[in-house]
Amino acid sequence: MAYKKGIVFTTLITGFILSLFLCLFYRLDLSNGEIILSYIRVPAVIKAIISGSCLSLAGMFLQTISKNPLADPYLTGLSSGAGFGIVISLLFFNSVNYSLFGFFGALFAAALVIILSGFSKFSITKLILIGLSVNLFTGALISFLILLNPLKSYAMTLILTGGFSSADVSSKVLVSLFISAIILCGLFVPKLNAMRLDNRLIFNSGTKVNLYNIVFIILAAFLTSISVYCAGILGFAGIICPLLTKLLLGNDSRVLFFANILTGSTLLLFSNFLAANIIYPLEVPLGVVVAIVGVPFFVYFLLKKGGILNNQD
Amino acid sequence: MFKILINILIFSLFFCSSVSAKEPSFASLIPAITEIMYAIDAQDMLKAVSSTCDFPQEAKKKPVIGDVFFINETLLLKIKPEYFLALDTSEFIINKYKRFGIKPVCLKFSDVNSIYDNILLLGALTQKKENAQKLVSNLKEKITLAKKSNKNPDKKILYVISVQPFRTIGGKSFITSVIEASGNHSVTGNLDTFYPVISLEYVINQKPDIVLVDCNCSDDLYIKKIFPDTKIVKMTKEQADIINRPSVRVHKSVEFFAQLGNK
Repeated sequence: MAYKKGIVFTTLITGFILSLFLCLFYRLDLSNGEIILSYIRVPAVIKAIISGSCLSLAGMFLQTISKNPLADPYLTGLSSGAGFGIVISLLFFNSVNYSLFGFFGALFAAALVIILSGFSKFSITKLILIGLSVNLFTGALISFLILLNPLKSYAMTLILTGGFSSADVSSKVLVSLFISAIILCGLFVPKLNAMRLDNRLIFNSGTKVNLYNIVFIILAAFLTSISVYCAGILGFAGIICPLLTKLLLGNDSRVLFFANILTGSTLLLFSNFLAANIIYPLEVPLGVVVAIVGVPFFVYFLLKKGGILNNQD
Repeated sequence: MFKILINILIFSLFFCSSVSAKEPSFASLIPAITEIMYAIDAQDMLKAVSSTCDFPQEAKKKPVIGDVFFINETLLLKIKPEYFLALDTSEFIINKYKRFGIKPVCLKFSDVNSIYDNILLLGALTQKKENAQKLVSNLKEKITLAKKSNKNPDKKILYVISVQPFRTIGGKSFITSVIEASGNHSVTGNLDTFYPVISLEYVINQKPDIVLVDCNCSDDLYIKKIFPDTKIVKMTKEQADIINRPSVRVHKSVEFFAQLGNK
């Protein structure tokens, strides 16, 4: 088993390094190399690594505590909260800081959903349903605002599909947020192993189920908001990466923690490379490429090893 | 009895002739088309405009039937224009009004020549052919003069619509043709598309002489960083309005592009 894990990790690290090199140096025109690297490629690579890691980890937390492989980082109304923040910023502030608005929009939506779910009578089902309601309500508001502003509707739709083109995001702020989130996650990850058991068993083991559920939901919301800050709303990566790593490496959260960081980063780095080069010089929306790259891999592993998901729970 | 029949016949003939002499009525969904209607002196036939039709000022006083996304159908059917004027891209939206007897007229503005063609077409529909022909020859003259005023032709122009994501004009946009008419070139004119999201690296490597930034684009600092040695011009709202509308003010647009290299 350790031998197998070693092979998986070696493959993941090789994939990560290869994608990193492709993103940084493929078709780099040396006459403008400095400008292209410092203003376009390096910021995009930083955002891909941070966004991929955050979405993967958030997905892992939510899938584990909800015991549902379909749980998504945007479960707590985050995507629509972020989208609403971005749309408000573009419409009323003509702002280049739309990522920041998205970040706070996502945090606000998550806080609202967690508070409405009630700390004392908290349950995951209640959280999912309230998250769904917030998503539907805010989603309708976003559509309405976009339709009311036809001149900006195309730009808004493009931005809402996600991507690394936001120039306003400071790499220093992003890296600081990411490191603090990773340290916090590292502290709590060992507890996640207990959370995948049946709630009655966890209760008997003395673990405070609701408290840790809320902690992991807050962590997932924080991680997803960071991802929104650097890449907008990128769906899908947060569902497939945790499932893929679980299929390949089993259920130990400590191992999955590192594997998810590598898988999420590699998926977004490689997708970013394809988005920029597949029909060069035109660019394909990143969210579209993530799905095109991720789904075939995921379905392949699901068909090959899907039974593990049932056996290991 | 015979007298009654004669009277009915005379009345029918009079009614038919009055119907055929009746001016056609129009509704316009597109500001550029509204401008053309005013320029050929067919404004009285224009019974309704869109919420984005703001030039000339008098156009704002016309009843507003909404825009491409939201058409006030109650008002439209109340006005019931004979023709509904829109772009070819909106054909699927306005085609449904055929069943109410409103004929869709979908115009395509692909280049400067298509502006002339559309002016002549509207002239024919509004029975203002002469005005339309005069307007076209006037425009052609002004555009030729504008091109001659370009002292430093063959400048490579990058037209920036937005930075996040990076959008520009492709070869299918009429603006590319306007830039060519001014004696300059669009660095993205070779792309067979309208308004593409494009690789920023590609345009940096094209080394444009002038970067023209849309008035709604608020990332000036970022543009200065990635084009440190290039002349950057930010359009005013008025200039952007003229450039983005394939209409009777196209000569001003050509003049603007021709002067870019001179300044």
